[in-house]
Amino acid sequence: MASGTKIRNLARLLDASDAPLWVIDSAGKLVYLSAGVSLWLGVEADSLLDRRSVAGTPISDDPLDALAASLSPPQGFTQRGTASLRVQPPTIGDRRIEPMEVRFVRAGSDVGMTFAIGGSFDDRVVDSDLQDAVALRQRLDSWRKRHARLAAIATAGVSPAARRTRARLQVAASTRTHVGFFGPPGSGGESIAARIHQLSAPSELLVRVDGPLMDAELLDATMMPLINQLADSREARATALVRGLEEMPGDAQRRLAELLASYPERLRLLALCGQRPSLLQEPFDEVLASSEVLQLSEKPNRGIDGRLIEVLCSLSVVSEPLAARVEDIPLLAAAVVDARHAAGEGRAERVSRAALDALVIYPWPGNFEELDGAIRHAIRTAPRESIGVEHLPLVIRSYRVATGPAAPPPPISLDDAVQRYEMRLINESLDLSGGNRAKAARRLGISRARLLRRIAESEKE
Amino acid sequence: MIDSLPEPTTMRRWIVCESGDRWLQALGRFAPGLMPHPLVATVTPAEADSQGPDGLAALLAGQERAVVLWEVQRSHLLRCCDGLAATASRQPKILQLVAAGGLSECELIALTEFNAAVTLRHPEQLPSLAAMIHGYFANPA
Repeated sequence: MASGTKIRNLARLLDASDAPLWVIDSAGKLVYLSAGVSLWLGVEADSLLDRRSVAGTPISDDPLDALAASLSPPQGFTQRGTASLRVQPPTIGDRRIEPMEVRFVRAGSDVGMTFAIGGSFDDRVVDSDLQDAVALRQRLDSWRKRHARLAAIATAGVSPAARRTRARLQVAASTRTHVGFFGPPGSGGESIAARIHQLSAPSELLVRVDGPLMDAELLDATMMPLINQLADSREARATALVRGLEEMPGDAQRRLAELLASYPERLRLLALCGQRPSLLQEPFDEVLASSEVLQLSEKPNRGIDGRLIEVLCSLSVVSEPLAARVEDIPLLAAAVVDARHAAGEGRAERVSRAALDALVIYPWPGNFEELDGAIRHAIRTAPRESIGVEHLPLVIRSYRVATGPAAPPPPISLDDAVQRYEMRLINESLDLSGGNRAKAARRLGISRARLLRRIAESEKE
Repeated sequence: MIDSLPEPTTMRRWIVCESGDRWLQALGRFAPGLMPHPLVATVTPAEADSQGPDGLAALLAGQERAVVLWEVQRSHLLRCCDGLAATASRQPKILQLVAAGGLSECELIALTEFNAAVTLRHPEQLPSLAAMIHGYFANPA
């Protein structure tokens, strides 16, 4: 292949190449078309020379004008200076021309000349870091959707408790503020809190903290990436979602309060707490400070640091135990089955009435999460569309309320009862008489001898 | 002579998901000291084909309290995220630790969202988890 710096060498190379290449001048006219263009379009390249090739301009009825116009760069090319376009030339007669990927490049300043090269370009591949970031984001979105789905089901229902919870959540979702979630374990609080975060501050960083497992140092280590972001930019905002705040050691709670005070308005707390707020009783951290001797039987104190209680006073959401929302249980069970069925899990589509009865009777100490787990178990077990009692976990299907006949009352002796009553009256009368037996006998309307006999009989028995 | 074998009911499983054996060796050294009396740590490597969600679920079957340590590298960050999420979804009470180096802060934050309780960089940080592990196993399932 000829090489050189003369323009003739370039002309020879272009003629030898089968790549479609054309040039549009500053007036928008085709001033060069390579042999590859003729092969692609099936028309003589000379017939297209000096025809206008500008996007959006009016053209004549001449099909060659339409063909020349189809070779124009896309709108906006003038500003960008480069563009890629899949060019689809119009049909000539009854002959259809295959589309082709074309890269347009402007040469020279201002309007200049436009070079168009047809071919296959694979330069839209993003770098692997970006691809990984996108994939990570997709996984996070999927994980958040799962929480959103669980939160929607956990708060569904027609009971007053469910309605109250939803009303509070609506307020929490509409504003970015600290929120305390109070409720029994297994109420789906974590999914609900995650959902509130998505609704109230979707673009904000979120870090989850396992409260009971933290000490001040571990808390710092866990929250360090978040704190760095807050320190780097005054615009940055972040949320800490703390599980089991009331079981978080005192030193960790104090550190959390310090961090919240260091970044007021910017660092938000979503705290999952127990059923009722209680103040942390000091000393507490001494127990964990001597962790080498902590035994399984030891129970750390529970409670929330006073400063954190003040923070969480802004808004609290209280979830009721599932046992207090009995009328919601069939609805929740059906919703879980629907969600699982939609996700392609198992064949079950509905819950039989007998199974619903068993679900309603069961006291649900594990609350919504236990119900969710039970339905998942049933879906895996049920071979057909309906979930029966036999598909429920053993602990639920075997649960029985103590409904047997009441135990018969112990037999009573009328004589004994009368005797006890008689002695009670005698004792009262003796007390009122200051121990004087004659006087007591008179008060009771009996003889002194009878009184003495009754006392003697009582002492003998 | 074996003086005494551990009582099976006191054994708690630690599962290590990693490509080499760095963290397996480290846990073999430190995990016994992290456990509260009378519990005993049994450190198990998850073989490469067991590190998927199903394989790990099989290793965790019947375990109410157990620890999974994920060695996370950028090259298999997504696989670890899938594993963390799957375990958190199936058995939320399992304690998941992450051993990671070379990840960005945003990636570390994302890992906590998938229920990673704490992120480690080096094995010498393991003893500092004593209070955390004690607290975890002291809490009844």
